[in-house]
Amino acid sequence: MLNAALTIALKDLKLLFRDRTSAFFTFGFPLALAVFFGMVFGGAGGDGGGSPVKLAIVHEGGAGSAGEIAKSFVADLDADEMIETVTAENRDAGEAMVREGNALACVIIPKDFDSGANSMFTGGGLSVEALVDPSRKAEAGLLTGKLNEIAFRQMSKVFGNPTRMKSMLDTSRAAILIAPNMSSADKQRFASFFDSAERLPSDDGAASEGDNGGGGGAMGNFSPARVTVTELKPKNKTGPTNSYSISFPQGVAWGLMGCVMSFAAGLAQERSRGTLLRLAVAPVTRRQVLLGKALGCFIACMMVILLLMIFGRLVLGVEIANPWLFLLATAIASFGFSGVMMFLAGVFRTEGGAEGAGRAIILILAMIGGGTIPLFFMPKFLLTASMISPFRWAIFAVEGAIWRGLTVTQLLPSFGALILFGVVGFAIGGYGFAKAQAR
Amino acid sequence: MLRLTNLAKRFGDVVAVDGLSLDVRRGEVFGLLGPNGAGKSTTISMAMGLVHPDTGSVELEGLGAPTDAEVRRHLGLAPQTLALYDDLTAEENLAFFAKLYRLDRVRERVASVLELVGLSQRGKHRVKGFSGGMQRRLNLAVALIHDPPLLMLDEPTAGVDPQSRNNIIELVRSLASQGRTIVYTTHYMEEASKLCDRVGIIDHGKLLDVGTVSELVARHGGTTSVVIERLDVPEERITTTDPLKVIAQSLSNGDVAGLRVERPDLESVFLALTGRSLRD
Ligand SMILES: Nc1ncnc2c1ncn2[C@@H]1O[C@H](COP(=O)(O)OP(=O)(O)OP(=O)(O)O)[C@@H](O)[C@H]1O
Ligand SMILES: [Mg+2]
Repeated sequence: MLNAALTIALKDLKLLFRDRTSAFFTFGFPLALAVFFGMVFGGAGGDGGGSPVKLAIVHEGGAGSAGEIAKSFVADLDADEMIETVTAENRDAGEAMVREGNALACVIIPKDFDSGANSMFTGGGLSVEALVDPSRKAEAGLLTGKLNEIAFRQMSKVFGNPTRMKSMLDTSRAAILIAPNMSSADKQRFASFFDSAERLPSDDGAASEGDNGGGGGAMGNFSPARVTVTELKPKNKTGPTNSYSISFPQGVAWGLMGCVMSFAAGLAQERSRGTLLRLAVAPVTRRQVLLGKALGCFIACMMVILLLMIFGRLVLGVEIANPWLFLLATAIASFGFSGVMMFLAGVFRTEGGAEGAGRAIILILAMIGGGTIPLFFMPKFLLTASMISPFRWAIFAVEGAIWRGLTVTQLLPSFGALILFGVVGFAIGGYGFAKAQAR
Repeated sequence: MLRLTNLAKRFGDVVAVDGLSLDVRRGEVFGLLGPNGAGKSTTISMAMGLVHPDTGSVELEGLGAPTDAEVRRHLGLAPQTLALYDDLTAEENLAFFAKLYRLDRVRERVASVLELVGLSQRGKHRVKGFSGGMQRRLNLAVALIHDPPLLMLDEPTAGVDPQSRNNIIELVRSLASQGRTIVYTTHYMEEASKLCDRVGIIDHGKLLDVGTVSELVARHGGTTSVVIERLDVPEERITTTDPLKVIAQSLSNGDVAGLRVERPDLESVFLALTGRSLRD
């Protein structure tokens, strides 16, 4: 029984991959959409292309009282053409901006920012904290470099200001003298560096020397800034961690749609191409043929969901909070959509019917089911209307497992709905075939 | 081998098959000859258990009705419309059906069938790129994959060039010589007379007569004529049972520019039975 069905399923999958167009629309297209919409929702052009990244700045020193270095640090950040800054009231506000995708990162300048300048040569340095979106690690890496660079620029300003420099050098000398983990050779080297620094004219020379020294070995522990990068973890699992967490479940909907369409059309195609006749002649029952078709569709659905989410996880940092629940959701959604495919194939039995009316129905269901407007943003009435769409339940089940932080029990309604769609689809589809066969 | 009894099938207003009874004997090539829409394919479909007859029955000697999947194992069908997966290779098509028939040693079986239809060189190519004749041969190969004792070939030469047509006819001959029973439908009388041990003439869903080609011709074909052409005179047609004698006489009279003997054939049989020509 299962053997024949599996033979048919594998043949159909082979056919799906052979046909480049249908393979693309089933697997590539949803992925492209998910990435594209993720980027659009995320508000940041992934390719940069000159558009600056947005940083939320939290200046913990409060207004006025903070040191000059902090102020000039912020001013330089603002002046950088790669960076656009927005002031955030406090840490929470900044964090919220990052979570909502309104800023790439939140840069927090602590109260003791200025004092770090004095311990620059003993492993201290201007300390900055950055809260970043975990999905945008690559950009965050660039940000760390940028912060270091700008912090370094502050140093040149310090050197450019004789009184500021004098005091800084004095504190530094004292600090180095008592530094426990510095060799005497290093201490010696710094001492002579400070001496020569004092003799420098108050101009750019120091800055360029400093530029070279920034990463240089001779400078020992020297670091202009200590950037602590903190990845934001999903907060109580109530919100999507990044825009891809919304766009990828949507991509799942488009992928499921592709599978359903190509398998429904595939069955109609077998009929019109005459191969269904051959299957009917072979010593397999109609039930086995239909089971084979459904199994092929089920496997394709599983593949498309897993492919999307694995890509999202590995490449774009989409969190999958509960992998086992996610797998369960994947299997159940795949079952439900195999039923949807059977329904369409059984009701629209011609190629034109499956590709015309079938496609129209499935498209509408996908649209109201969260395929275009994310469930997350849906107004209430639409969210209610979406319940008639299997896509809604599939998206909700996937989201429930990856970021909504739901439990199996909480997902039971979605699972139940998907199973219901599956069972009803199989029943109606099977009936349609039985009727067609009887003639 | 195969007995069709009083089969009838209508599709809406169209009576496709109308009380057809037929006995196909073991080991013979039986031709079902009729024009488009005569009901050949519908008859085959009912014989294969694919279409439910409105009345009548189909029985495979000693086995029962082909509606039973196990009975169908003894039947092979090459449908009139090519039934192949274009995006699969010839081998993959054959292997797929071999697996559905739960055959052992699928690979050897596939290779031997490909060899049989002369497509060994193209086994690894996708069907999409095959010529019409090659697709026809593969269509036939799929029917052979499980080595059935009874083969039904529904217009196996449809849409192929004369060269491929001869290949297919040779192939059917060799299949028949291996002891298979073959039901062969066609609307080409040349094929029927070349290939078939017995022929049934079908029109409007009715089987008009059955017999060997010479029996049918003797029964319905009428007489032989000798056509004599002379210069500046309209040609003269003499019907006779002894054409040699007529030729000898006319030659002795001299002045003959040309001679032609017109023997009755299946075409004349069809004309006599239906009042219409087969090639409309
Ligand atoms: N599934 C069907 N639905 C409706 N009418 C049908 C169907 N199958 C066959 N017919 C009609 O039944 C009649 C016999 O068709 P059939 O295909 O058996 O003829 P045929 O002898 O095989 O013709 P051809 O040489 O063109 O293949 C035709 O008038 C055809 O239109
Ligand atoms: Mg036909």
